[in-house]
Amino acid sequence: MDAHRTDELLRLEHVVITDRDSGNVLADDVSLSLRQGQCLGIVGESGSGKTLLCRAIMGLLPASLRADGHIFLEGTDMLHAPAPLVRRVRGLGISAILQQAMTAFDPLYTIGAQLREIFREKLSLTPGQADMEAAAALRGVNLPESVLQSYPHQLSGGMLQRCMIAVSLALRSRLVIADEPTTALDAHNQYAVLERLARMRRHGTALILVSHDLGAVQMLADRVMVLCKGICVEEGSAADIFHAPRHDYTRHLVRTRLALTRAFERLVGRQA
Amino acid sequence: MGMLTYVLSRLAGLIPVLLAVSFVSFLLIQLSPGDPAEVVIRVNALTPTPELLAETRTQLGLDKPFLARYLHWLTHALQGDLGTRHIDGKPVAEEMARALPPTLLLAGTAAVVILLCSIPAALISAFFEGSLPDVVLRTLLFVSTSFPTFWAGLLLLWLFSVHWDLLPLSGLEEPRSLILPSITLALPYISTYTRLLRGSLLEAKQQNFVLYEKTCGLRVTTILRHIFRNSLQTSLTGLGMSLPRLIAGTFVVECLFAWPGLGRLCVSAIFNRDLPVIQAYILLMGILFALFKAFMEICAALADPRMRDRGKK
Repeated sequence: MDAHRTDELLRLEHVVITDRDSGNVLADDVSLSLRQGQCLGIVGESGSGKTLLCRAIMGLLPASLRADGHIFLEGTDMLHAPAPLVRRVRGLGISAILQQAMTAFDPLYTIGAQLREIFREKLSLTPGQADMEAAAALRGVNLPESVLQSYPHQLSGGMLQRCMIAVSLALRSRLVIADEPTTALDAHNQYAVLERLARMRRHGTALILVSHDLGAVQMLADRVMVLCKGICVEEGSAADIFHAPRHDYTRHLVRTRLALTRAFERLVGRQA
Repeated sequence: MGMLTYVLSRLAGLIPVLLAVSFVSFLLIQLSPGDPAEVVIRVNALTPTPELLAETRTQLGLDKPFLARYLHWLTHALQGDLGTRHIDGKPVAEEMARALPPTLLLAGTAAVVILLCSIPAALISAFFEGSLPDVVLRTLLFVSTSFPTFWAGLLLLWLFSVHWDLLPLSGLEEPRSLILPSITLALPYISTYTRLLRGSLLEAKQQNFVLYEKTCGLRVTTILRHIFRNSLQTSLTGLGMSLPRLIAGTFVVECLFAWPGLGRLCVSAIFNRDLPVIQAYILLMGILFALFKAFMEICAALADPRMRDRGKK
């Protein structure tokens, strides 16, 4: 693996995630490297350890799990560095787009209040500047300014998903982790979200796209990692994985999803 | 707009509840054994002859049908006239008005003590879940719940007033008199609310939006504020409902500390079979419960945008 390139953003070295109580290994010896602006797709069935790996990258594993190995994000070891240091990396260095958009924002505060709070803290803005930043962020994802005054329950899952994208865009995070960004959405919103993620990539943001939707991964990722029961069974360029899968499990995934993928492509009228 | 109609409809809904409360409190007294006329005669140290009984019944309006008596009592109660005490003929409303402030003072202080103790305890125990402070706190709370109020009160009295002679023994003469009764009253509630708040804090901590705020790298104190606001939302109604329970629950503490409040007024009325006082007390407590419940629900609705929108869709 090209471990020491200067534009390397993220490096995982022999990451092992174990359950503290049962001793079960949930991710076994995962190593990978991601350069600036690259998009890595992580695929695998439910329970294959995709989400856990992402939470480990952000240093946010549940207390019941233990992670060994190293995860370097722009030089900070997200597993072992002191908590305040890791917290500072979150936001600007790395941010996330969560799967359950409907519950991703505090129900008691308006979207505007929550965006302003994030921008004030992470971008060190004055209240006035944060106001303008929040309005601009929403414009960037085609949401009307009225969303600022809305409470989360008044918006759809797709709109909330776009709010999270707006946050990542405004923070100019170098790496964005999108965990199943499309599964909770209808076909129309799925396409809109993927479109925005693609645009984010064009702005030079690196992306980790976690999905069991191979169509989405094929559309965005230039590299793919296949996880099966916490083990990385195959890793390589997207073209290789999809057209010449070497591992049985990958072949199985590609085969079973092929029909769905075609249907998806037909639906969204995939761009060249 | 939606909110105003909600508040108005909630307040309008109180009217039948309060009427039912008044009816039940009247009914309960009517169903209680003993002849009120006989009680009146006996407390005045007279012998109840049949003529005297009949005369007193007419005087008290007891010869009229049940519904007429209820309506008579209700119309007077609405004008603030709750009848007179059998024992000395003083107006019940006046006596209640005199006993209410000390009880409110006691219950209010106890409420402050409860909040001051249970909020920090819940925060510590929820955020250091499973740690030594959490275990110690929960053990202490478990022990304190198991103390009956009268025993805890006696222990405190013995320790602080008798053994160390630090605090007044009874009555309400100086601000220091408040300390022991309010702590005794608050003790069983502290553990209830610590556990209630701890549970809802732990629940709020697991919410998805907390994870999202963490991924954004927000400060720990900011995230804590969000968790706290959300957990208060669920325990607010419970906390509010405890206020009338505190007021109604001062019986034991007031007797123990010779507190000149409502609880003691009612206890002595029970021993004297002074029915108008008991009736007024039941009515007052019923009204307090209904009012506080409505008030807390309105507060909870005002604080929760999801509730505010309920009427709109």
